[in-house]
Amino acid sequence: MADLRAVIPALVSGCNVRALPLGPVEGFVLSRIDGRSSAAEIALMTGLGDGVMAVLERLAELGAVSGVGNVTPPRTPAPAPPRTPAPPGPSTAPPDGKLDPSWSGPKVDDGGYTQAELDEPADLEIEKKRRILSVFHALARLDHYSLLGVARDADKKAIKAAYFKLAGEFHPDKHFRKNLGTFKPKMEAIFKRLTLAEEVLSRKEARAEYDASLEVRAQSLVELELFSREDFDAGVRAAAARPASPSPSPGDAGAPRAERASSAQVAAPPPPRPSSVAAPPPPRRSSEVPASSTPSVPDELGPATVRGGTRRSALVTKLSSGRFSPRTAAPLGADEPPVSDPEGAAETLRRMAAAKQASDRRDQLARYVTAAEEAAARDDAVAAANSYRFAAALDPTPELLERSTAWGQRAAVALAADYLRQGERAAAEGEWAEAARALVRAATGMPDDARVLSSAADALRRSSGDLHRAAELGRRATELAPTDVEVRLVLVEVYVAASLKLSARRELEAAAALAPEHAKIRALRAEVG
Amino acid sequence: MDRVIGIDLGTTNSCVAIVENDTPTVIPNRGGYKTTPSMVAITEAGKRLVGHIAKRQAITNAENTVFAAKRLIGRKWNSPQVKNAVLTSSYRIVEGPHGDVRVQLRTKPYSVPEISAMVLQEMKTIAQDYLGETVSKAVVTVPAYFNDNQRQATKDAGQIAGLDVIRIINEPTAASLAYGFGKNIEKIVAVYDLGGGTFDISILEIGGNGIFKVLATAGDTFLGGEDFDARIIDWFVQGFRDDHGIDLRQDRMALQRLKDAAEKAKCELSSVKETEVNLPFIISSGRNEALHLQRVISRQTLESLTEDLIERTVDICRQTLLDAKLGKEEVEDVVLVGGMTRMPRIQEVVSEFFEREPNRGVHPDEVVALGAAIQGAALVDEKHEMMLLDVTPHALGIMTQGGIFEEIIPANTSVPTGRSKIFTTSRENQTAVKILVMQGDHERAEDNELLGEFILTGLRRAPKGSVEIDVVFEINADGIVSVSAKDLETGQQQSIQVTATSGLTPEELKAMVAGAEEFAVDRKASEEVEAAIQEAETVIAEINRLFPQVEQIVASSDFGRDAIAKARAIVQRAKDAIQKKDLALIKEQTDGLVRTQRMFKGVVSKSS
Repeated sequence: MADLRAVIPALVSGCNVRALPLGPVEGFVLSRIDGRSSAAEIALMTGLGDGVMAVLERLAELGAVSGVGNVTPPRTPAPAPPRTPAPPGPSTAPPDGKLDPSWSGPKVDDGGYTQAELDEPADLEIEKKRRILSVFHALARLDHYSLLGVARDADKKAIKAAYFKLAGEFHPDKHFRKNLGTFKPKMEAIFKRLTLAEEVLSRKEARAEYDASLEVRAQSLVELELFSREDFDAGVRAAAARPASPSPSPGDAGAPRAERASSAQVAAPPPPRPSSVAAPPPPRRSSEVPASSTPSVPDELGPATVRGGTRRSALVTKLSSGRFSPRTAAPLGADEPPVSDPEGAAETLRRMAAAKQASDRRDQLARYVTAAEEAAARDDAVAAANSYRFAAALDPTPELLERSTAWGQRAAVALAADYLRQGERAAAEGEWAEAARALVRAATGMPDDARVLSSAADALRRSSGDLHRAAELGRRATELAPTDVEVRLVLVEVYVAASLKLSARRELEAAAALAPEHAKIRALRAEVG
Repeated sequence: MDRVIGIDLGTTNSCVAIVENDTPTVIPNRGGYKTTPSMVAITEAGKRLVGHIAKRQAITNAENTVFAAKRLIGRKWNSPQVKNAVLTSSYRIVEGPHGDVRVQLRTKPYSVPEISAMVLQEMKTIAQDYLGETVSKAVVTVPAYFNDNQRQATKDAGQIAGLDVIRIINEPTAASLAYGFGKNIEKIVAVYDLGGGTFDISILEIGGNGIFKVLATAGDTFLGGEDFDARIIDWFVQGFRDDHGIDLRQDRMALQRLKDAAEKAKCELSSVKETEVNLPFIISSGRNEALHLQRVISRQTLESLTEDLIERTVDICRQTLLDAKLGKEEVEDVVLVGGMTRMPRIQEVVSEFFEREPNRGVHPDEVVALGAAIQGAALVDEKHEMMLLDVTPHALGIMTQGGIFEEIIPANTSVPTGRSKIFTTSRENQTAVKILVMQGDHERAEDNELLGEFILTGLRRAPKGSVEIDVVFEINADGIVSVSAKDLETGQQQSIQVTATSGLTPEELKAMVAGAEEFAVDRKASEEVEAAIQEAETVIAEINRLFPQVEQIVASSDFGRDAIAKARAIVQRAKDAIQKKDLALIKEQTDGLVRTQRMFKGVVSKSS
């Protein structure tokens, strides 16, 4: 993803946007593209964070946007790429000039900083410089939780520990009387935000208030998606009213453009990263699944990371653009900050939207409710959930919220079944990475199905994926089905792969007790020793 | 790498420490004492005396001996605290040219930072003698409740003494650093610091990874051991007046003797239940008769005399916990700092308040200097995994209409920090606003400390309340405050960096630095021996002057027949010591001389 953020997308002239099968988020992003703002800036403006890349790629696939290369994202931070030439004009200011108070010019490197900033002489190691700059430039986007790298439900102790660790790292005294140049005020700015985050999150009332403000902000973003453009409304209506349309293939972002563009019947798969997308994808017609083995967007932001979470929490994650997921956000300064939250941007945009909103709010609401009821009548859970969610965002009455939640749950289950099918197909074809992604997601939607959890664990192991998560899934599966020897053996294999010999041995003995004659047991015994 | 010393610049005693081989160590002075009295004197011959030597001659040279200068540092001439000090001090406090405070010693008025610089220089010399190398950097501690002006004045004092004060830290914080150093603990700790002149309470959270975060701090810069002494003095003075109808306060020398005795009695009462104060020939009566003060004071008396002072410290503790939004039960350890915390009643009250036995693992007189040394080492050497997250002890804000102080950065905010508030005009068509930057915790602006001011002009003529001005306060890691005001409509902006003033102009400060440099050169020529000789000779001269009168008195009575011979022997031994230029010997003999002189004076006043 790193250098993709530097690209400056432009609208393709002559493209009839209205005719494209777009979702609300795509429409919103489209409305922000002005040929001057970089992808990173658009991420900031829309509050979509990294998710914006997937949206842009899809828009490029549909031929609506140019300038977004079909580049395979490098996994390691690359040196600053050459900046895509910007058109002449006041290109160094964000479109409305006041979105983000810390916005200070072109941001072209992986962490949103320029090579010039990195080159500033200072008595700091290059890695430390990178870290300071990327965190500094991410400040406006990070909410208190992601800044500290703690889960939404983190307790006081976890918050303290995270704060102490980071405060020690970013307090300017760490490099006392060293030449720090402008890195010093940047460290101070980071420290101030850390302190603020800690103060807010470790006080009960302040935290509740802050949580509420996050909800409001998230809601306002949803509203913005709805109100920012007229043609966008049309897109939303179309999406909401659209009968069961194909669902996304998680991980298909990198599929060759030609194939995607030509498959006209594959209408509107929303972007592959639910965390960044307001709308959960509609169910897929499985016959149309385009198997893809190309490298894809890493999935750490997806609902797959909702470990041990309930369906409800998975849903919340989807519905709130990932902002309320109870997962542990990646700690600060992992290559990219995890969840975006453009405080300044959201605030400005919210005000803009509020003005427009009043007039056509009622019409809008009526349209969503109608669309939702129609979808519900034909038992299209995803479409119904989608429309109810928008309706509830507009008018959060208990009734609408309840329906939104209820249909949201059904949608999650429906999607889980979908993911499961997809995962099984990929597994049958030996596409283990693909299978792991899909199955982990399926497991999230079906957290009580031992076999699904176990398959996910198995796929993770086979694809050399996250063994930690694999072990977790495997353990839960054995808890759910303690007498299922296959489930147990999967866990043994995961333990073996993770070199956890003692655990492997223990599980293997348990499996042996269940089915002493099982063929695999002897082979595994040899491995476990 | 430069070594950094830690100096606890106390009201009554100072202490210096350094981190050696990762171990913080207190450096003893030449006399072998780990603390040095924060006293400075100028002798008749113009010699400067610091520390024990100044303390020893204080009685005979009370007018030119400064103690507790810390109570005056960074204060304005017209502050109530200075007014009070003018009335009670044995030395002369005069007004300086900028509304600041000067101390008149002999013929020269000294600024308070200059006086403190003499103490700091003494501490620096002690460290240099011990380390055998030049020391140029120091971390100096101040009471947590010092304001910016007091901190800046302390920094200035360091500069005059030829020290680069790389950081000023709070005494209780320093104590906590020494307490938690190398222990890898995770705890919330209260530091109760009752020193010679100030009381501080700080609540800190110590994180396992060497992070010390101050949660709240508060105190009273005019509450300390000296106030306890004053209560005892009052009690004796009152008793003496009841017995003899004479006010001992009228006689500076008597008062000085009483002061010494009171301090001694106070210390003794920490270990015994009662003690006798015996001051023969303290004053002469109207009928030319020498009077003695001899009276027993009990621990109970002391406790009843000072109960309200102790209660004040408890009130501050209570408030601080409230500010930190902490319950008593969340405080996991209580550290006692400062000599006054040896008083059993204080220990009792503190344990009652916090509902736990205070920690006895730290040395109350040395722990602050140790902490300062630790902070110094941690700052200059990145290998020390230690980080102090300090807070601003006072609120910062600006004055608003009606003389109301509007807080922008609240007290106990972790620094570095930055906060802003939006203000507006108070009059119709107002085109300029004056931003008065203040520090303090009082609602009325005038009760707070003014740190600086500036004017923002060019505002649009508009009805009052319709122009928005964004005022931003920032405190950086070095404690430098900067303030800016911005007209949100026009974008016009004005800002200042607040440079807290110690009442000195930069030129004056420069002149003082130069002066001290000269002095430092001069000092290296065995200055202390010279000073000791000077002192001894002064006393010998006084004794010699009194000899004829005393001889007469002895001749006409049965009393003190051996006194003359003994006095001559003492003088002779002192002269021998002077001959040998043996410092320790001179000092030893000077004690005898001073006793002799005191006795002679008493006899003469009785008989004349």
